[in-house]
Amino acid sequence: MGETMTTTTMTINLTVNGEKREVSIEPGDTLNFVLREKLGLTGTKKGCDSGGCGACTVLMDRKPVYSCMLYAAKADGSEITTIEGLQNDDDDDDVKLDPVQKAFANHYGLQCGYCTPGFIMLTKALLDENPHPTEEEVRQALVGNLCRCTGYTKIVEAVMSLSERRR
Amino acid sequence: MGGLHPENYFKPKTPAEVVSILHRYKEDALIMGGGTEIYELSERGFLTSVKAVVDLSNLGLDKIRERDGEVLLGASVTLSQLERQRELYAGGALGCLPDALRDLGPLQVRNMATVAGAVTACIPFFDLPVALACLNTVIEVQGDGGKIRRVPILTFQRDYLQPDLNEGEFVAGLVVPKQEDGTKSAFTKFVSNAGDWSIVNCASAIRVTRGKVSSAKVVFGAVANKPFVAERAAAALVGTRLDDAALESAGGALDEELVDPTSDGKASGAYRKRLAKILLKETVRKAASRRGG
Repeated sequence: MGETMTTTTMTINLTVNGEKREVSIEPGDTLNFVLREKLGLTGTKKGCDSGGCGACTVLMDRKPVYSCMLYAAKADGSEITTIEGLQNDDDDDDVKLDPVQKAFANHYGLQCGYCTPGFIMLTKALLDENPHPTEEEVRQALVGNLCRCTGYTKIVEAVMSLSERRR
Repeated sequence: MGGLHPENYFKPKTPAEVVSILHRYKEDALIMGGGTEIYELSERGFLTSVKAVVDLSNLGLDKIRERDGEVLLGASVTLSQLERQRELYAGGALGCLPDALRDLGPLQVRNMATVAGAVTACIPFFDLPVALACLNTVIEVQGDGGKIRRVPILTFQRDYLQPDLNEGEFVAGLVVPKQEDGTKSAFTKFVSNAGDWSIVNCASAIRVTRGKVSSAKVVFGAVANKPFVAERAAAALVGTRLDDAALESAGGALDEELVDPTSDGKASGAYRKRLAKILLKETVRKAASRRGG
């Protein structure tokens, strides 16, 4: 299409992983684009780009959302947490990983790893709201995240280990 | 080329501002709730001419209120928010709502998508409009001078992608009316996988008085361009004790009135018709056996 397009920019304010960020965007930009291309936070993936695979899951004001289909302008003023924002909560480890990340590693809840940031962010939100989910609740919660390597068994085991540990 | 490339993205703080922007941009304006369906449509190249997005999220319409048994939903109420109102569902009358919401796509979508958006989109295979239609939900359309037009959902959804909205109007909220005492409702659907749209879905509201059905409503989705009210099937249930013979006869009535259900790449009309008869029985039984109230 050769026609010229009028592009306007606008400024939004986000708190990303605890840090205030002012970003200049185009009105049609998605949060996924802003995180990855403008802020360099490439831990959040872009998979199906149509709200089905969950690889792009981030937390907006502590709730899991698909960043691929969320217009960045809509997120203006909100708090965004991405996989880069997870912090270790104990000091006895060289590798600074969140307990959810450790559980996925310890239970082999990943293979290629592409879907993992999305699964981990969703798990964070699930356990925040429901610290002791049953296996059925876990499977139900994970319905919006696809993994094409693991067959899900190890992912569910990883999440259940956290549910049991916190019991 | 797909995508959404508006010149402006507005988040008005008052209804008057919304109306003024809609008048200024006319058909080039797009009203946005949660934006999830808009994103899907834009990626398919349907929204390239949009010049202004009017995002309703700053209007303070994110409240759910109860007034004399009516439930008032602001335009920005999300699917997750409605799902969490457990106390609303205790009586069983509104049971079709949590039924429909629970399996309605992933949590990540339910956290963004709005109830008003799910209705305004006018997508015939959505679940929530069918449940809301079964409860005789009314849509509050706001326009010039703050005037509110109240439109029953089945009139509001005119056709595929065609809500009853004139220039300068937007959906400010929805009203789920008080259901008759003793009413129980339920929703079921048939999908090919957990992430897919319904092939057929069904909502039913049943009231049983002294062992017999005193009123019945049955609505199907994904069989026509808008929710289909099965009046004859519902009428066949009234006065019965919902035994097998009554449900069989309701199925026969449905056969007669559901003349030409949607046929597409997912399912033939004949297949949908068979599914509809199965869901009719399941949904009516589920509603009638619901506890509460």
